[in-house]
Amino acid sequence: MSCNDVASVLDSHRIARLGPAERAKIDLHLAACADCSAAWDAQSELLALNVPLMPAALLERALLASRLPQSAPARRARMPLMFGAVLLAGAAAAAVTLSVLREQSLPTVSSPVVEQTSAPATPERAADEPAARIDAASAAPQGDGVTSVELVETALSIAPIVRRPPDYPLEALKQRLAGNVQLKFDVTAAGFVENVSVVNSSDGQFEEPAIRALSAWRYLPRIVAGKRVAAKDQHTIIRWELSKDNEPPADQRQVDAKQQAAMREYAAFSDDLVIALDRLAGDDLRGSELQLDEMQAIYGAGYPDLWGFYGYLFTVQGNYDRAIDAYERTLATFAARGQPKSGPWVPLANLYFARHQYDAALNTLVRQRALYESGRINNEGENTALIAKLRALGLTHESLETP
Amino acid sequence: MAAMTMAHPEFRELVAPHLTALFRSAYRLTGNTQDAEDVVQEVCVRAYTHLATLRTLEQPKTWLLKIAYRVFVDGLRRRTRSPVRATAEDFDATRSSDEPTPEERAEAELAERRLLDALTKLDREQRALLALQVEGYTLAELTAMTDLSADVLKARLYRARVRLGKLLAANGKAPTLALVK
Repeated sequence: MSCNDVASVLDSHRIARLGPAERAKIDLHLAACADCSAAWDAQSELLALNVPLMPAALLERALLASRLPQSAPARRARMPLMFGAVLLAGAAAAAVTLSVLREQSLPTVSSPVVEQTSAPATPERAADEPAARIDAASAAPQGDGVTSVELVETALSIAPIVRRPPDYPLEALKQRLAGNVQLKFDVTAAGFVENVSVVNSSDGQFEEPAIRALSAWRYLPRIVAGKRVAAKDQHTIIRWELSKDNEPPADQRQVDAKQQAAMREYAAFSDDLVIALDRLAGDDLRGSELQLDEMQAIYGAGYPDLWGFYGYLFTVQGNYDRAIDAYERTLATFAARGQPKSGPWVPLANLYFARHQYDAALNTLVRQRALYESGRINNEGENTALIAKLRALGLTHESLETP
Repeated sequence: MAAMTMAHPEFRELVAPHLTALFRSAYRLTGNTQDAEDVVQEVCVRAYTHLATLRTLEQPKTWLLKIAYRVFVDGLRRRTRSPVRATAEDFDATRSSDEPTPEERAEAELAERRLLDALTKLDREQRALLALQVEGYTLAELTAMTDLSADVLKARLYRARVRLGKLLAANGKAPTLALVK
């Protein structure tokens, strides 16, 4: 047995099929030859490396990437695609993601809790950028049949529709250290995260995983004046926390198995959502809708994110009536799940207004206000522009008169 | 712009069957899922511009891997990112039901990091040769991917393994997580 023979064995993928006699000869040689011994160990470790499964949405992203024009800016734009990721819808959808993540983080030590502060309304959204234009001719309440093109704004602030949690830094995990990182970032008009920077952090080791995770998040960009727009200077905080008792009693195993199953389904759901997002980013509205249809067939109609996405997509298509239906279903799904912390209230009210259903627009604002005052949803900001426009039409409600 | 998506179903058909193999090799080249995807996308971008070539090939997989090899060895786009590391990239839908404990997982991660760390100390060609070889390709396939002669290839593979083995030995055994208990 020579070094050459050993190299040939390694090259020929026969390690696992060696007979005892040949193996003994090799061992004899390895004991005497430091180089071959090192080479053998290296090959063994390489073979033992666990290669993860391919991300489900990789094909779609790769195909999208291959279609993009190869000018320099386009290549930059392509980068976020590689970070995997997820889409965003209105602020509503984020709440679901959040609660799912938080719930699931309990049984395992290694899943960080992700929290998102509400992004401040972007400065460029000034009062002179009306959500829905109203002109004197079409201002009559209940103006059915009027088909003027009105432009709808989807949300006051933006939030990711789905997020992947960051890694738990290994050292921090060993020391059972909690942490948080505050980040600043921009969202492009295609919904990708860019220009991530750390505002402050409890500990430097959390920063890199935070940046990595955030870079992979995806947003449904706000729609202003009929266009998807970028949003600058968004803020978020990512927190890592360890559950106190990380050894659940035996009777919780069933629960854990269920949670893990839910987590797996949710991850698959997110991957599929990415496909719809990528198609939307490529302006393939029809393809995006088909993907959502398929997801509805697979996952059922119980995911608010799905309806939120439909609502967004129909808004982009200019099909406001279908968008209204979809957003109402989002709210119904939220309510059925008993976790309506947030919802597509702003786009829904704006859509009703755009379709001249002013009573319904008002009613949506009133419903939102009532839920907020009972503490069941978060404050998503005052839709003061719309309230003022309704008031100009003589429509108001006492709950909307108090700040 | 649906037409844009539908323009080349043929490309999808040609590439899709090889994507898993491409991703696996790319993961071995780069050591993490995100960079691996980066490589795969770059391969698709380049392959797409040679669609006419792609459709005539008998061994499209070898050709695609050859591109991946070049993409990696020539150096993919530089990025401000910390050195290669292998951790669960996202919370992983593929983990089996007998989920390892966090400690086991952390320990496996440490062992992987040690290997991936050593791999970053090889030069890119060495690492690429090992990656493709370990993925199960034959010397004949490797010569087609790398344009190296079989003899040169064999010698370089051997040297790469020896170097990696010594780097690993210098790093000692994978540390255990005594702190976590």
